[in-house]
Amino acid sequence: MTYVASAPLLARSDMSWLTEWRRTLDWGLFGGAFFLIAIGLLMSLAAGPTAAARIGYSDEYFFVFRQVCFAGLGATIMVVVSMLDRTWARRFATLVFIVSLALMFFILVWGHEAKGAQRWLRFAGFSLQPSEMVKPALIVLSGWLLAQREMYPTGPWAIIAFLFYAVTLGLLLLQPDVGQSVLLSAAFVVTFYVSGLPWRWAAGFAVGGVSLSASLYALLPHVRYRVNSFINPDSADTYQIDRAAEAIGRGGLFGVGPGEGQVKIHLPDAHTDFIYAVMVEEFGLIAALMLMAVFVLLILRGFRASSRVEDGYARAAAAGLFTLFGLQAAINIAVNLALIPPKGMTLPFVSYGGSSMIGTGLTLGLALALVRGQGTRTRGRYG
Amino acid sequence: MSEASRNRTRLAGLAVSALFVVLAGKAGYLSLAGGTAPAHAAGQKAERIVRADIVDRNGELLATSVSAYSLVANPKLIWDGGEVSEALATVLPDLDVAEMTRRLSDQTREFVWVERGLTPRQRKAVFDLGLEGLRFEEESRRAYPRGTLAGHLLGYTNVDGLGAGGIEYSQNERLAAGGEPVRLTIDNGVQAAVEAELSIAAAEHEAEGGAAILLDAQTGEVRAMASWPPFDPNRSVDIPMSDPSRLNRATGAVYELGSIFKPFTVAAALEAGVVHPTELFDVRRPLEIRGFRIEDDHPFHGDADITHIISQSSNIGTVRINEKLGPRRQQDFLIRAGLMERVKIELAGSSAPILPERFDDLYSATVSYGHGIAVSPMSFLAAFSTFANGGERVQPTLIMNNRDRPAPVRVMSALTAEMVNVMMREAVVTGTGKNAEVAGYRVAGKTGTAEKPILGGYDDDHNVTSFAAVFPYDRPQYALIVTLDDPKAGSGAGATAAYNAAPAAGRMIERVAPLLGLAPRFEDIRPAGAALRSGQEKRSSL
Repeated sequence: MTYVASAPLLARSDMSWLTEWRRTLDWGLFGGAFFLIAIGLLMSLAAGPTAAARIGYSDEYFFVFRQVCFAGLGATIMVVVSMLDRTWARRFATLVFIVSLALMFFILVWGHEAKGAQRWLRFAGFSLQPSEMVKPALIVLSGWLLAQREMYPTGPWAIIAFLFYAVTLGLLLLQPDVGQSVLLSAAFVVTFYVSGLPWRWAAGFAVGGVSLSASLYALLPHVRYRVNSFINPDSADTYQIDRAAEAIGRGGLFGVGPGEGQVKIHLPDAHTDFIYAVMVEEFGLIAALMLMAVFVLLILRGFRASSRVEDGYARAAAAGLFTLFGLQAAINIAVNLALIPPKGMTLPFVSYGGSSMIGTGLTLGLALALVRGQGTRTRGRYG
Repeated sequence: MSEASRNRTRLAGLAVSALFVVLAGKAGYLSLAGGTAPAHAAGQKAERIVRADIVDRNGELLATSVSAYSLVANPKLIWDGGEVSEALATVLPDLDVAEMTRRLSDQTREFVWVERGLTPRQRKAVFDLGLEGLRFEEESRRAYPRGTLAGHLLGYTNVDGLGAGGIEYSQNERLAAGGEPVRLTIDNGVQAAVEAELSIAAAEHEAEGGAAILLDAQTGEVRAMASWPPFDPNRSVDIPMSDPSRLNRATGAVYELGSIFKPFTVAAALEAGVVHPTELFDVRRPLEIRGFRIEDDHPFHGDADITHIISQSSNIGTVRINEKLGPRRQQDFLIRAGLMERVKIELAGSSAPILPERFDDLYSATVSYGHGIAVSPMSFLAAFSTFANGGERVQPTLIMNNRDRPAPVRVMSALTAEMVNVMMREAVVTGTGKNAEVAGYRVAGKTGTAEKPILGGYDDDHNVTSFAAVFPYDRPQYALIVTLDDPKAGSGAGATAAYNAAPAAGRMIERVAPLLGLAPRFEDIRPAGAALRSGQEKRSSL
């Protein structure tokens, strides 16, 4: 008897959750996210010490150190959340949604007494912006609710999802945070659209969007001014975006060189909302386009991965999450390029800020978990 | 799973990605086309003209311009006026939060002054708050590093940075053009000493106000000009316009200065040749001119020569001399001496004299001893300094190397000036000015106590006392006047010039003579009876 060495289909003997995760993870997205974090750390070395000096901290690496901590936290959240399966992802998102909503409500009611801190919750030297967490949670929840229409078409799923969305939107508008409201609405509509958007709903969103915009324009002078000043920039005070656009112009093709930038000295938000301008001033158009390319590749890969997901809930939710991620980056960069008025929105994983890091880690973690699929358990032992 | 949903997902991804195409286009446009204009604008800003400094004769700083920032807000850009106001109040403690909240919440406005004149440090603190809707306008703020020193003289600037008083006003064009500092004739050390002694005298005698001027008689340069109460130009905005400290009493106020006019009458008479220096006059009985009685404080026994009339300050004797002079020649002399017009000096607040309506025999008589004519101390001193300049009057000035002045005018002969100086020296050695004597510096001077004019007459309880001096009397260089408005009588001393203005003048000379480089000469001083002031006496009442 001869021993025939064949090439058998090897059973997947190692079915531990870690191996499952390693095997099913989209390493492209995962690597891209870490690449962004690395760029963020690099830029914190450029803008952090200047910001620390501007605010008067004696430790010039105050913001660098904190950026490292936040980046570690954001990455950890992303990794851990990406290990969840779809069911746990939904359960986790529900928990986050409830807690964040409660915190936002709490801030809205008590914030006035704490001297206008209506977006932020402060504790132990850190501040937390629960609206960063509520966005991905709502998208996952909506994706699941809307997907229930496939199995139980008679249930009022769309209405429930819309109510959740409406409550969140209301809390955001009351803060008021028009930029985040726009972002959340776009992601919710994309989720709805991917999951199946009936015409009457589409018409409803169109009418609702226009009338809400119009009433915001009419009721909030601040919004009216922003819009007017954008349409007619001569009459407006556009200090920050003008300085940012100038800095980008100064950078030229190859930049003024690492550490040689000027805009980080003049802008109060250089290390957060205007980190892109700081980077382009120092490293030039090459870096500007390269960073955009990284975001575009992540977005395209993310949507492609979403489109390949069989499960309607996971596909819609993942598409919504990638919309959140991509649109936030696009809005931030557009502000830096003086294309739109300032929004107070960070560049995901690159800007300094704990809430932004946690929020982005949660968004990408959930997206990774949803596009990861169910691995061996659904595809069978030889899948 | 439906293929449609799959395609919708891809479409959404492409839509989001498409946004980046627009962004890349704008980034390319900014990098390759924009970015040159703003640097140009920044360069223009640096060329802003800075108002020139004011320095003393030694180049020490008296007024300078510092960068200040005005914080302005655009309420239309501000969400929550209360939040912004409270944040600003942490940096600008003087801010009225309630008022500022109201103004910043007024969404109809686009421009609100929050605070003007912020220091660079305050500006940085506001900047670090990172609030929207606020911006800074760089302005130049005037600073007077020596506080009240020469405050009246310097004047101040208004909120728009234009001179609004004193040198700041009179030299506004030159200062506004920037460049080289304006150099004044005053000397900070001398000015400080004169101001200190004036305020000591004013406080000691509870005067309402006071003025003192020290003039270099040969050049007409004002070495010190003080007015009391003092004025700090740094605080000009806080001081009400009606506040008495705003008045520069050295040039802006006119007083009937009294007996310090007598040397003029004597000089005019000597110059006209109508009296002889040793001539005797009957001063025993009061005079009556058209019912107006002219008498002396202390009755004289026997006749008095001119030296005696000056040193004991006899009104009757002066009027007798003036009768020989006559009103015509008296007026000519006053005109030559510049007392009939506003003194020309680089201060806009220089007041014109108040002259008698008619120069009849009565007014001629009262003017001869300094009543019925009111002039500013500066105007008086410009005329009086001729005694220290061989009889020539130089137009006084506050600006160094001022060539824009008329040639000196001869008011009297050098001999006449010398004779009057000897007489005034006698007043200090034996007469009413004894308290002005300073060991070694040979002061010659004349006291003057005038009752303050009130409606329809004079008030015998309130005086304006003055001491006018030249020193050293045998080789005179400097002229000084000290005037106190309404000093009160001290214990055992009257309210006349002999007890307040004269000792104040003496103390000033004692302090400033060494600073002026005058060498004391001791062999001729301490004549029997001339008292030396002790150090204790100087500040006794304070």
